[in-house]
Amino acid sequence: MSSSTKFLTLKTNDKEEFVLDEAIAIRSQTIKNMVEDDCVSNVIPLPNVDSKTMIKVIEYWKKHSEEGISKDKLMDFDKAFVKVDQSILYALILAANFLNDAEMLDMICQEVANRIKGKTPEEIRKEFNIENDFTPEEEEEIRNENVWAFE
Amino acid sequence: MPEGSAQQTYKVEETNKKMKRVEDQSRISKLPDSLLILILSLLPTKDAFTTSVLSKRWEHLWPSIDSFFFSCKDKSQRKNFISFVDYVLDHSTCSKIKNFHLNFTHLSKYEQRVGFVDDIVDFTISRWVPTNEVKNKNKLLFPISRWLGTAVEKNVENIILLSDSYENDSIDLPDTIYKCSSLITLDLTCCILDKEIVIEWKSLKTLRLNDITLDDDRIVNILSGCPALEILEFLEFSGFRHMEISSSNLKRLKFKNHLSYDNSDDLSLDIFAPHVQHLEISGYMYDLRCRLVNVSSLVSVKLTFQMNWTWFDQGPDEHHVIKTLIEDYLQKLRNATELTFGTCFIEVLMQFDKMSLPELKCKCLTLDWHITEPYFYGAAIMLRASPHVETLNITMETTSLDLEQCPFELGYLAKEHDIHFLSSFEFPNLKNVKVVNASKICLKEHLEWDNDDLFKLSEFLLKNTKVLEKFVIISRRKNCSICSMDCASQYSSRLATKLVCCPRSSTSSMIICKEGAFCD
Repeated sequence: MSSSTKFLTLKTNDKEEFVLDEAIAIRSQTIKNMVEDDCVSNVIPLPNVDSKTMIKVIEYWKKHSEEGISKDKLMDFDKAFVKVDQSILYALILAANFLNDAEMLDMICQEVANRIKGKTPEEIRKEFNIENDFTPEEEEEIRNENVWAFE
Repeated sequence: MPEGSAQQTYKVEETNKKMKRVEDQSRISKLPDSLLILILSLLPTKDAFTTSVLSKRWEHLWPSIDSFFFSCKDKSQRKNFISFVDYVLDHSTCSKIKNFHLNFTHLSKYEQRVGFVDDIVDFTISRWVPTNEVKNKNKLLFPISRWLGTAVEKNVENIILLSDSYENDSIDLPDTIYKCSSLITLDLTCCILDKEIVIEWKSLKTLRLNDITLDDDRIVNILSGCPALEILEFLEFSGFRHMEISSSNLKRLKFKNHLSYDNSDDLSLDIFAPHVQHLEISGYMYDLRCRLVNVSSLVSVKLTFQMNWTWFDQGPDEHHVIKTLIEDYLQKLRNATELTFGTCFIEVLMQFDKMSLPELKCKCLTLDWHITEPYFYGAAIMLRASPHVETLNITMETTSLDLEQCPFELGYLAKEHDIHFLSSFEFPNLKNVKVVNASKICLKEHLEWDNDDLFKLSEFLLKNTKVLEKFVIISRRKNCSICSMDCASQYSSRLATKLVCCPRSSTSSMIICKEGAFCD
């Protein structure tokens, strides 16, 4: 089995090429479908992913493909993996979504959710730099719709 | 300069400014709706709803979430909480609910009955159902049932109903839930399963029933109604005496904490489960004896339950009953490769004669251990019956030993055991030993002890194990809340230091001492 390890070349939108074990690359359902449909020629283009993001994705895939790695170790890895700037998180979310890796997508979305959890609207706006484009009257109206949620 | 050109310059500047502002603005808001909704679906629903006020971009996202996590934190909040859940579910636009989790600790019927019913009826009628009140009377009274009905209408996949309170009255389930074919996980606490309605949970894979009384007929009905079931768990269970599982899909079965309402003399539960691979019986069984009638496919088994010894405290005959039960377990578990036994088991084993156990095929053996108790003999007997063991885990128990021990139990714990037969014994396959201390018991006093039974067993293992590779001692906690010292790690390192000086028959073995909550 191991003698027939197949490698795939992935090409990001900034023209970087990544050579990766097929067994690891098919964590991406998108790539898996391409392989199964036999429409892989030499290079798989990833028009929605840049190389900086792809490096992180591959780091995640490799760790999660390690044989016999314990759940605790993976949890520690994931925790450290998502301790990055918001901009990188969004790039990873878009990449995981395009590559169709549900596990990774959920994990990173959970991190964004954790950054929202338990905060007041003002705190969330500050954390994510969201501009409030409601007039005070509009905002008041929404808040009045369900007072309990804003207590 | 022509007029037009100046205007153009102005326009360009304006555009640049605009672009700069957009750039500065939140990048999160630029994620497509589907991904923002995914993020909101991972939040407690109250937090997801809060985002509606952030900006216009966020205002209309939350109604699309497909997972709901509701929890009423406070009794005084329950009226508002009910109106909130009603509001959210009324405005939900998702076509399929993935998760519906509800912690109803402060919403039980009990509370409604005593002075709360009127409030709910008034409140709900005035706001949500102004007409047709007779038809909806039942639904109105029980908001939980109403919400579950909505979830079922939206083809819910996973339902978890939780309560932290012990004062609950049971929840009435809506009739529609019994035929909900979209359900994959159902985790119910304190609910009434209507006997008259046939269950048809075609896709259900996991069923967890907590604090629900069921009779034998209901069990038959559940099992025949869930052909795809893989995991079945009963917590705080009572009622049924017979369980026959014929489905080959069902691989995991668990019983934890039997609620004893029954005073009959012979309280037993017969289990026929020829395809089940993983079995756990844990917690307090009181006087219930779970009898394994047919369990021929078992691979891993965890028996860490406690029986109520004092209830059997009527004479040696009663203890003979438990001994026979445990003897029967060991016969039935002969082919399992992964076994975990609780302290109750080891105590009963201390009654056994050294030769009476069947040979077990177990490769990984885990024993729970009370540091204060002389378990050496019981553990040694168990090991002697398990010559194929490659990995031995000894877990120091978290709970302190029940002080209500009966004289018989104390009697054989105190018994001087003849352990000479052990001196010639070898563990031919044992490669790894792991002693894990996750207990909350203060070990300060034991630091003074020179010869506790855990040390005795460890010394014995080192001496008689030719192929031993690793002997690992793990301490899971740092500071003890009782002595405010690091007694657990001191105990571990002292054990390790003492063992380093002991004779070893495996020359290549290592003794390793580790500390930390996650190390393995």
